Amino acid sequence: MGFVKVVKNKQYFKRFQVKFKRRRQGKTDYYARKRLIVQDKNKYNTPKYRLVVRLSNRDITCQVAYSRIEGDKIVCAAYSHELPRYGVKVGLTNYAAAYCTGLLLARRLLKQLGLDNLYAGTTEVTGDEYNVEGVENGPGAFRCYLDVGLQRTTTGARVFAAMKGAVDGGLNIPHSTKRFPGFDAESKSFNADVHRSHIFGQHVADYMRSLEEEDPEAFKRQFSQYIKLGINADQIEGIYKNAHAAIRANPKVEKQAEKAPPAAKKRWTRRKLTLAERKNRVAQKKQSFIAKIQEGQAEP
Amino acid sequence: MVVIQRVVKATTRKGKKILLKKEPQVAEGPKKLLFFQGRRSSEKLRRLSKDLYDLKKPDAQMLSKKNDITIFENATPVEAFCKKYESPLFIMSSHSKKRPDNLVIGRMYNYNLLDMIELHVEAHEGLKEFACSKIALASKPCLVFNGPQWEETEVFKHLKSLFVDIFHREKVESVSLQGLQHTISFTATPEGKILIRSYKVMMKKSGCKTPRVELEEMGEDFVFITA
Repeated sequence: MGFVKVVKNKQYFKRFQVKFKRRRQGKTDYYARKRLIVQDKNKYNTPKYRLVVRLSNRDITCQVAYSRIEGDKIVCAAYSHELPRYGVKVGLTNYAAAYCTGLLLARRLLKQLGLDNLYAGTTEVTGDEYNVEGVENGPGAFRCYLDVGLQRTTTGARVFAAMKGAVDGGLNIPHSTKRFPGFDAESKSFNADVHRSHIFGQHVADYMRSLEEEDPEAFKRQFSQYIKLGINADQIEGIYKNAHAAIRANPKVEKQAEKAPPAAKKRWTRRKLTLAERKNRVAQKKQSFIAKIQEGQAEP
Repeated sequence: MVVIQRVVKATTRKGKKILLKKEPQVAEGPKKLLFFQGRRSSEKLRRLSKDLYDLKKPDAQMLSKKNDITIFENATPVEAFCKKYESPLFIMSSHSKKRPDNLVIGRMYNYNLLDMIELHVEAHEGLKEFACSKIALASKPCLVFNGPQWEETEVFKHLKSLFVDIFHREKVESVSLQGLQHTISFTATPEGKILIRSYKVMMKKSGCKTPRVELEEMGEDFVFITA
């Protein structure tokens, strides 16, 4: 073995420049963020709003945000864990739930701004392409841009379900149908019926039916929560239809009552000993050791 | 005072594109600002640099380490920094017992030093001390210069052109009223102090089409003294 130069020496660490914190955490794509927040050179310097959609393993977060120097401010937010209030109890991260969350956000935001009667979006959900048109004598439609974050934008992704929900709710978000389920890549055509069936969870219902026939064990494991609540494959469309109506009826935020903290707080670690307890412990150890010497079994 | 550098040749196509981007362009983007420290820096200066950096984002870069640079004797390391980070403007903060709380603002032409001015910071109140919501990121400010000295004295004329260069962002053909959110006012007192205040522009409803403009103080207060 010859001489090997240590790469990570003192000079390396002295001159090392770390990336931005959120880049180190892998949470923010600064290339995309710069283009979403800073207005283009040739455009006027109008403020930009963005529709932030983030998916986690058990929840979907939709927010409308704008940026200030001291940090981003959120205008309005909707989460899919609020959907049980509107009748959707299970399947909170599927395509249909994402659509509901986007719809909830749009209706909530428009109600907050006082535009909900002016811009109702589409009440008939067809899955077809729909763009909000501004009213002539009155305030324009609320325009924002979709911010997917670090998610992969494949055809049929759930982020676009949230965006479609928001558009159908009345927000003006520039988009194309290329990434909705039902878009055929070879023929470059969009089939709105397939999209509609996805919005109403029919793909989940079809899977439920086929799994129940073929493999009952796997069915019990996969759809255990559905079985527990007694939801059939045929009821799924109705659930989402009712949810849409309920969302349009009352999109207001409902504050949860603060949970009282439990009387006895659970401990995971051992409690520290007090001074008296420690002294007592030492004294007892000494006593037992002296007793052992006197019996002649331990060395002094 | 040309910086001699090894000829950097690109081996990959991506590297070649990066090098081409660094070449002089026909239409340049907004001027970038580089913040760095001298041998020692004080807390006041660090806060001030951070606030100016926040105002100037995303066209700014802040370096965190101290550098052993005596700028008025040898400016070559500064030219190397500016060339590396592609910033024609720089602000260096340095603090020593004999010259406390000093800021050196300078600019480059073709990455050779064009001019620089040393300012002493007397007082500074940051963005956090003003409890109100601030402006959007990267908005072009309106600059207001108060006082006759900005036109009369040589030093102040020079400083005015430096300040305009720093806050200028990109060149735009037209501006929308909604985009005018930020105003910075520079006042030159007869003693030679420069007071800088930063305001948020609020457009209120008025009877006619042009809105009633109100300024709310949102930003930093600097008091500079020319050394």
